Amino acid sequence: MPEKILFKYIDEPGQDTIKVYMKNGGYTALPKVLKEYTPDQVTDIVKESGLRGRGGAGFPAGVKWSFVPKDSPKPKYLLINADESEPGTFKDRQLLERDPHQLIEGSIIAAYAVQAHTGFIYIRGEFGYGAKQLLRALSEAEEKNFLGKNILGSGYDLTIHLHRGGGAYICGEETALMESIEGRRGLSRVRPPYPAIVGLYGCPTVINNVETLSNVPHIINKGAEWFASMGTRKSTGTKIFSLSGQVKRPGNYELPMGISLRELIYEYGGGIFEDRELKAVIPGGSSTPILTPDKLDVKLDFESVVEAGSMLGSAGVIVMDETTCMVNVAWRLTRFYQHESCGKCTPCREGTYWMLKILERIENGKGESGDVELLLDICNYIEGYTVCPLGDAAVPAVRSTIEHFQEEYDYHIRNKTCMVKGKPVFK
Amino acid sequence: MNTMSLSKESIEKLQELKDKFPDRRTAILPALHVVYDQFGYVGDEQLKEAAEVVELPYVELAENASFYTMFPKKPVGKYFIQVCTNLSCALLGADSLVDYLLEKLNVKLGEITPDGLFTVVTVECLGSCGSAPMMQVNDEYHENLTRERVDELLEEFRREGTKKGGPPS
Amino acid sequence: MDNSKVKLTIDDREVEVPKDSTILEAALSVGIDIPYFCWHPNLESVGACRMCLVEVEKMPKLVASCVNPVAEGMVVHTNTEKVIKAREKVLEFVLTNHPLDCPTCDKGGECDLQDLTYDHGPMMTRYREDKVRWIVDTHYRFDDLQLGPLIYRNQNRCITCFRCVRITREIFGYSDLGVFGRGSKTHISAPGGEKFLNEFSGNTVEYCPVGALTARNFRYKIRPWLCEQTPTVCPMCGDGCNMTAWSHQRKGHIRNTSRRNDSIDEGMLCDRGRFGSVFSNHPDRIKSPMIKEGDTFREVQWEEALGFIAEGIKKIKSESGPEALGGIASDLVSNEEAYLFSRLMRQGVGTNNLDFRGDRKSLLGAGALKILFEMQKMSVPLEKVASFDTVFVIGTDIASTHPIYTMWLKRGIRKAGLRVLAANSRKLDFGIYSVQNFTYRPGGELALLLGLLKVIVKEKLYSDAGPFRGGQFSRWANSLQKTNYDTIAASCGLSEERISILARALAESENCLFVVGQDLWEGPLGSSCLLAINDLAVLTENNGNPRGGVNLLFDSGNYLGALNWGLTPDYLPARRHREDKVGREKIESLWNCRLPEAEGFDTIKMLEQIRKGNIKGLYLYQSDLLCDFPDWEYIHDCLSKLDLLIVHELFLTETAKMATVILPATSFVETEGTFTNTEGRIQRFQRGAAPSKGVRESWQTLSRLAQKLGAEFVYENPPEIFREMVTLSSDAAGLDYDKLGARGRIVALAERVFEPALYEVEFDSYTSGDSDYPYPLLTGDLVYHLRHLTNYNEDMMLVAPEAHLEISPEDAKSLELKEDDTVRVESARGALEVKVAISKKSPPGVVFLPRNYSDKNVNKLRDREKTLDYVRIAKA
Repeated sequence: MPEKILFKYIDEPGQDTIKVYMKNGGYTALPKVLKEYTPDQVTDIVKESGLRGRGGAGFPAGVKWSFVPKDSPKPKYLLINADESEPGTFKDRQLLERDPHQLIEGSIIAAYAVQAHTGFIYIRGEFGYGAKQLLRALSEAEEKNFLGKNILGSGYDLTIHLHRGGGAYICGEETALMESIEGRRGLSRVRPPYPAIVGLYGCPTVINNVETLSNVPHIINKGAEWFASMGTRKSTGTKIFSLSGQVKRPGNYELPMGISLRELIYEYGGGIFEDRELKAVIPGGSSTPILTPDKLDVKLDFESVVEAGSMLGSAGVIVMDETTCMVNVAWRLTRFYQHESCGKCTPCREGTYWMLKILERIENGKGESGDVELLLDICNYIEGYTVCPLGDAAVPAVRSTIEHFQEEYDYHIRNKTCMVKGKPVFK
Repeated sequence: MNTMSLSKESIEKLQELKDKFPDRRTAILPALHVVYDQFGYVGDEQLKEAAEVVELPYVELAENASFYTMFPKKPVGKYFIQVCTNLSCALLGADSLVDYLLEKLNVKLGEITPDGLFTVVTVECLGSCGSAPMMQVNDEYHENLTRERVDELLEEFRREGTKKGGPPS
Repeated sequence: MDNSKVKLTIDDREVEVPKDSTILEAALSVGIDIPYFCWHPNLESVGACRMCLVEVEKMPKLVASCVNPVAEGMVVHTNTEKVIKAREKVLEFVLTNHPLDCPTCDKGGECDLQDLTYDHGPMMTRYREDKVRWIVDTHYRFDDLQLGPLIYRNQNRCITCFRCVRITREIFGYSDLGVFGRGSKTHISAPGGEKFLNEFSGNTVEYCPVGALTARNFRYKIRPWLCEQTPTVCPMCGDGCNMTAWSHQRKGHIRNTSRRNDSIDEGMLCDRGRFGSVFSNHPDRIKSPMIKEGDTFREVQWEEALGFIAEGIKKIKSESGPEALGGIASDLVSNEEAYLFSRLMRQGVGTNNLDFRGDRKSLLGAGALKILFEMQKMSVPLEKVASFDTVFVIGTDIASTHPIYTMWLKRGIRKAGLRVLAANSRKLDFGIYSVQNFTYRPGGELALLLGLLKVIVKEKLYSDAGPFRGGQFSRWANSLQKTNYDTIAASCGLSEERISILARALAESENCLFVVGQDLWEGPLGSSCLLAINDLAVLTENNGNPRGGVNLLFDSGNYLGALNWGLTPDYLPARRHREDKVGREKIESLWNCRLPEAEGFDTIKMLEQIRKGNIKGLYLYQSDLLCDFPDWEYIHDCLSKLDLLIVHELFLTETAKMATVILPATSFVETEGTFTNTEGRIQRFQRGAAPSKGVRESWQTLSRLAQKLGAEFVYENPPEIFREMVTLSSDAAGLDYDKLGARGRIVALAERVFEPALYEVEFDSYTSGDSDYPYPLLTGDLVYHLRHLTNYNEDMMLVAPEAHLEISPEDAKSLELKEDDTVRVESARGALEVKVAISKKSPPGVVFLPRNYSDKNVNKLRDREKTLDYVRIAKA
């Protein structure tokens, strides 16, 4: 088994309590940081480690921190994005339910690096249990003075609020998340200005994903070099892959960056459900284009997946077998994006609705010739024309299923029925 | 006490929220949760009352409540069953899980069973793709569902629900 | 402020614009047109509609020009194939869920979506799916939902640009409209159980780029292209917003839209102006001259009526002299009409008994007016108001009296951290924008002002650099010692501590603007208050100092014009004092007559003379004295005593019914001329609708009557009157009627040099109280009800159909009253039964009844001899 960082103690009972977390070496990075490092040094260490954002975009975390203007007289904010809502992704939930202190310790170090004195953990509203876990963990950390005033006598103050979402995928988008915290409907903001300059309450703000921040204490403790030695040159460290769909052993797997898709599905996932044939894989959450079985040897790191024609995204790997109708997949995912479109900008609001209506028609045996071309044209005028990435994210499901499985669309339209027989059954 | 009004506890929670954050409006979303936690839904009257406590315009609370999916405007069953039908769950039979629930409870999607105990709705991904199919009942996740497990759960809810007395009106 | 500029290229043109401009602003500034829906110059950009996408070199994607800032050396293309295609696609998207019900849509013909689709859209749509439809209720036409009394929504047509909600919230600070739902279910509505109704609601209709919001007064009435549009100026308050009057050949004046004047309104109108000023087409207009015969009126020809009047005037003149005649005009008539009426009375009739003020118990005399004229030199234009650091509003509920003024104050609060401090006997409410209220007891206004002066002197909060030092200053400062804080607190109800907080805020501000309401300076202690305000301004060094200012508010459409052009007994046109020999001679030579020498009477004194039988004939020019005067019994008695009562009016008012002879008048849309707004800005309005058949324009009537009285004045048209009258003033002399410009001209009518002075002010107060009648009664105009005019406007009567007694929540509780309960309001003078409105604007112990409701006339409760009226309230 390869070395685990984040999941090392995930199955140990009590790891969610501060006692066990500390027994397992927790909260040693924080005192070290406060005693030995300046904020800039922390940022530099994280930069050197090559840690890239685990939320989907893969932007280097240390670089992001360094964008926060040091001379700004305004308060700075750290936002911890725990609004995990990308279909096929469920890694953050496990991290915050089972090892909340790892996240909190990483968050405190990050806040120190950007000199924020207030942080918000924006947790997905539906994660009621996770919220309880975090609340408890936050108060434990406060009791030990890892949070609050004059942390461990360092003179550094930090408050972290837990903020529950209300059920909106868009709020995982960083600007919509800020709007949501500010008490407005979660509509994304136009960038520029970028959050590092004008973020929450108009102040410099850093937003990091749960998994990203959970790595930070380990990088501090074991060094940037150690972290960079794992994974690939450009995608360092480990990655938690959320494996789901028609696979024998679904679940979260922490593996080094660059492991192959084949290994993940067949070695760790135990192969395809009921030993059926693999048909397609979504490698990085529902917003990434599907890959066909010929791409099974793609290395799962940021660069290689792009080369293969998709994206690593949030590493939510959804496996689909031969019984899956790809039109249905496109319809289902488009339904999701249409449901989650905030409605602010025209191409996303109207485009996703239009695509959904066409797909619904095709699914219901009312497809017409020209529908596929129309779908592709709509895709072209959503992607790149919207305020935020949600519009872009809605496109791959439609476009990539057409690209690889147009015959299924054509069959649907011609024969008014599905090419693939049988539906998944709940037993 | 008028059951439509905010409880003393809720009002205290709201008052605490009012000045907790750098900007008062940040209290809006937490305030919606307070209202929802008490009533199981978020109606206009409750919002108006909450708005007064947190001293923010009612319209802003109402706008927020309408934006998110977690705050039903009208009462739902005592057990609010939300079944994920997004891709990963669907690949493992979520659609037929919904059919099974509706048939078993003899109710239509979104409606309340005559005994006031159940409402079944479908929802988008709940972040439980690795343990599909699944459903959320009120605040709790129930994962890796099978027909057998669903039967057990419904039985349990029914027992518990009738024991504690009728559903909130 | 960073004033630096950047250069960029747009469509091969070099453009230089301020650094913080957006690409769209830069393009528009040089006339390059980029289409947009959601952008509006007064609003923060949101970048939602994506219509304004442009191509910027070195940027991978098209960018929304409304949100992207310019940069040095940037190269922008607004018309590439990619951009053109994108616009077409965006429009196709916009139209997917738009019902395309143009034939039945009120916006047809003036719809941004129609126009932009025409210019940039696809020729056909590929959308064949069901459209999202918002069915409201089967009894609403075309899925229309009434959001409030004046505004309807058709959500099907909405393209979610959010302009309506942004205007309502950002510009006006109101929370009665919101965006609900999300995605394709996004919709606009009032929050559940509430109404959309604020004094600016009509702007949402005008700036809706489609027909999603429509106004009650125009929907399903007429197609816009069948109307004629005329530039006009709103007469409904002293701010003078610019409007376009829309009239139809048969239906007459039917609606107004804004006509952007960045010095006043920035393209916004209040509902009183937009909707409430549509009354010219009302069926109750007087259409013919009438002479009273017995208890009824007989319609007569113009010449007969004018001959009858001329004879009547001559008779009184010959029997009792010209002093037995008087004239009272309205403060809503034009400058030209005011001037003409002044000339008619002084030259044609030969009297100085002349006024235009009919609604006060006391009036400023010539001396106080002189101070007022002096203080006007400290005034600042409306467009500068938002740049102050502190604004002190005193003695007015400015949101009701000067709606658009509050737009500037709110802008200041939103954008520049302006602090608004308000002292009034009712609270001011700016919605989400904060106002610090210092509520004084009615009658305690002077006490508060003296208290402020005392604190400033005691704490030495005035600047040492000021010119007021030495003996003169200490004498003045000592005069403040005569009144102690106890007396002050007892009078105004504010503690020394509260007064100190306010005083410090005023004195320590960077720059402070004093906004002085007409209720204060024209109130019972008006002249003393003026002096105290002057002292405050001088002492806090606002005076003569470009950093500060004093704006005296003039509440009605042309108060200042009436004052300037000769409608007070002592001031001849162009503010020439009656005894100013030079001015007098100038007028005499221009008019070719001898002006009457005798001192004239103002309204209050005229009424006394009528009562004594000394004045026998009165000419009321659009003055509804019976409704306006603050003592109904008295004014009724006075008017009954007259031998000759000439009423020259738009409507058959209660006053008109008492007339001996009635002349039809023309409204502001039926004639042309100029108004002077509260800033002193002269603005031109044009004729937009023909008067009813047989109705003469008022200036013609006044001229013709003068001729019949032997005064030779012949005018071709109002511009000619204007050209004549401005020659009387050295400041206005150069004005060219045809070149007043899109923003009008501020004319001071006085030398600009200001001589700062401090005045000793004697304490006075009128907070007597009465144990039988415990509640002081305040009155004033509602934002939705102005004079008798809005009685003839359906919209305003729908919103404010009757007078409600406004009481505080505290009083409502102690009197066990609920909203809309009927109460009997009783004074020593009379009683009225009215409904209750519980209002947070009312402080405990003080009640308010709006004026100018003829059936529930508050003046029936008022007594001219009591400075403040008191009432008792009982559940009916």
